[in-house]
Amino acid sequence: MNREKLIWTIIFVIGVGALGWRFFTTNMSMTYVAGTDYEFVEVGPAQSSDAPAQPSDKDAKTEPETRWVNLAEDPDLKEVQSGQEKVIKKLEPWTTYRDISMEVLPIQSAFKSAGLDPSLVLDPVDAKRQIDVAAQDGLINDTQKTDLSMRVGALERYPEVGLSWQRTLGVWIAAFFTLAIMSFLYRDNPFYKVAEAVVIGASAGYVMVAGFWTTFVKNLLVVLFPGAMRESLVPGLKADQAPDYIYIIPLIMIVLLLWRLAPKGGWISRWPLAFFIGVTAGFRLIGYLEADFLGQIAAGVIPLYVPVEVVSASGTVEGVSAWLTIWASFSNIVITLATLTGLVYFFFSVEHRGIVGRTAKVGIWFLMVAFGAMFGFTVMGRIALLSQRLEFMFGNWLDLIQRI
Amino acid sequence: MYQFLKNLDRRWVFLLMGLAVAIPILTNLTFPEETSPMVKDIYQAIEDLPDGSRILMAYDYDPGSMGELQPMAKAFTRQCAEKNHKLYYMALWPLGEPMIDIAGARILMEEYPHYKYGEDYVNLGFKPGAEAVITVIVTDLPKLFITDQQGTSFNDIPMCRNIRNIQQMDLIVSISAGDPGTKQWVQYAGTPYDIPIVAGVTGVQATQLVAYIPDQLIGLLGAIKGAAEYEQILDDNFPHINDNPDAQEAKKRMGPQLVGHALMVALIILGNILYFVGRRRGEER
Repeated sequence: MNREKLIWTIIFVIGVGALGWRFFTTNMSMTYVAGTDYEFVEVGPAQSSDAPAQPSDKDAKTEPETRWVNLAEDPDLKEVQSGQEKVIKKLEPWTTYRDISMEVLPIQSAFKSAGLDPSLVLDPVDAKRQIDVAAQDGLINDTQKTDLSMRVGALERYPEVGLSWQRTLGVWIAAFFTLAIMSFLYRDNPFYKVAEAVVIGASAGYVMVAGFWTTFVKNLLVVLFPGAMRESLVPGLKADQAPDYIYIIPLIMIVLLLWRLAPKGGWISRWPLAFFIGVTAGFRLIGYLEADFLGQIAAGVIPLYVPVEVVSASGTVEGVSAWLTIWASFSNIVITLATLTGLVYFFFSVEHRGIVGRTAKVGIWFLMVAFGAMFGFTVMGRIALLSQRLEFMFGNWLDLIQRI
Repeated sequence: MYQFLKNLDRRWVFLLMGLAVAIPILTNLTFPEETSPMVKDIYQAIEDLPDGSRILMAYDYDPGSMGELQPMAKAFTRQCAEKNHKLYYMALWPLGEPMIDIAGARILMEEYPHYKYGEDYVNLGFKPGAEAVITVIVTDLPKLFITDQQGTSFNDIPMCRNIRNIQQMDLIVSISAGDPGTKQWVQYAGTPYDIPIVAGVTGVQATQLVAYIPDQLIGLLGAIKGAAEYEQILDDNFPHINDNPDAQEAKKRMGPQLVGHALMVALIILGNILYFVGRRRGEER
């Protein structure tokens, strides 16, 4: 084993040991969640036929209005009891969980400081009982009892609080991939390669799935076959949604684009491609002409003398402030000078000699200042990204600082 | 010394920068923020709108720029919620949708429980097509956003029933990490249709967008510094936000910024000194 390998082996062993010790002695990476129950039923007018609604494209316009009611909020369906409505469809109940670690962890710390078992926090009713027992036994004073009871009481608003092993594991995976990506700064290695491949694969998969649901389903299938989509993939779709058959044209273009994969006639895909390129070029040209070309010329025509008036508290003009006027005018003069000299620098039809050369040189100085500002902003951005990652590592993973 | 510094392995520089950022985070080093006029303009633009105004929240960024943009996205949501504005969230980036959940919907659910989905805020989700999407929704919003992110018909959502296009919005808040983003909102919505826009962007973009101020863009939050100043003005005007640690995210990141930038300046000076010393010694670049 060479020296470098030995050093890295020692660092690895010490690192794993420290992590193991921290994991078993602290709240490192522990993620607590609260659940919220959902159970939806679709209700509609009672006078419609008893059979569940089967909307089709043909009779979509005559479908009665329906709405969704959350049984978790209205378990007895009191709103439906009037007899005006009836239940048409019922969805399988589900529960969503959200991270409440920021609320649970400080309470656990308070329990630990008071000599109580921190795991009690997850069952607020039992925790309150234990607080009473501890107070009776003299382990905590009245102030501590009130404080702990109040803190635990805050968790009672959640129907279900628990440790989420899935999310805790997620924190570990995120930490592993962060370290794997950062390891590239030392040199290329298999951990970095794995992390890179996972990022690319996951991103491609996500974009594909997002594209399918947001565009292919919602902007094509829903428009062409609203009835079928309402019964299958998009139950929240309005019953009177009528099909729009003009969307058959984009459907044909999709087929033409995919023709590229066919063994013969791949050239057909150039037609829709040509359409997209033409449309995009047109869009961009108009956008640039109006907002950048004309808009920026208009914004560049500014007065070189800007009198700044001093207004009293009562709203009367008391005169012109000399210093503010000088400052505002100076700003506008610099902007005008920078614009003109910068433009001269990019004017290559005339040789940059004499007055043109000197003006172009001033333009270069303004450009350098702009590049410096860009560099400064870029550094700021990169440090912010590193800060956010380190905050995650030190907070959510190692529990050394407050979590984000 | 010269030879040592000239041949210094760049990995020592990486380590130094890592420590320069990590130590202020671990020691919770923060500094007071002064609000600049541009940040005040943005704050005032939202504040001057009548309560309950319609605001389009365009979250055009992804996890790669969360460090810079998430604090300002949260702060925008908080100020709008303080004014009870109606918030229409949408994204032109595929991963903008989860950003809406993290830096929009979650803030409203946890900190402003009176905000009801569909009545006070709606998540229209992601729509691919970049500037083409803006060009369509500027005249016909439900044509592209047939349903919201959850699949509810656009016209079934109470706060969307009377919305035909985004010209009915009182303000566009664009939070952007690149293209499509603030530039496209200015080009295809703000400039041609006179819809007021405020923006929060990454540092890389900021210098390119400053030229749009003040005629085509009311104001711009540039990178984490802009976000920190915006958090400060919210703290000053809404004291209960000051007590919320989640609302101090950008301000916390300014400590590492100072030390990191100081190190960067020192390294640039050192690099220049080495260059001139080398040139005096007759060494090639």
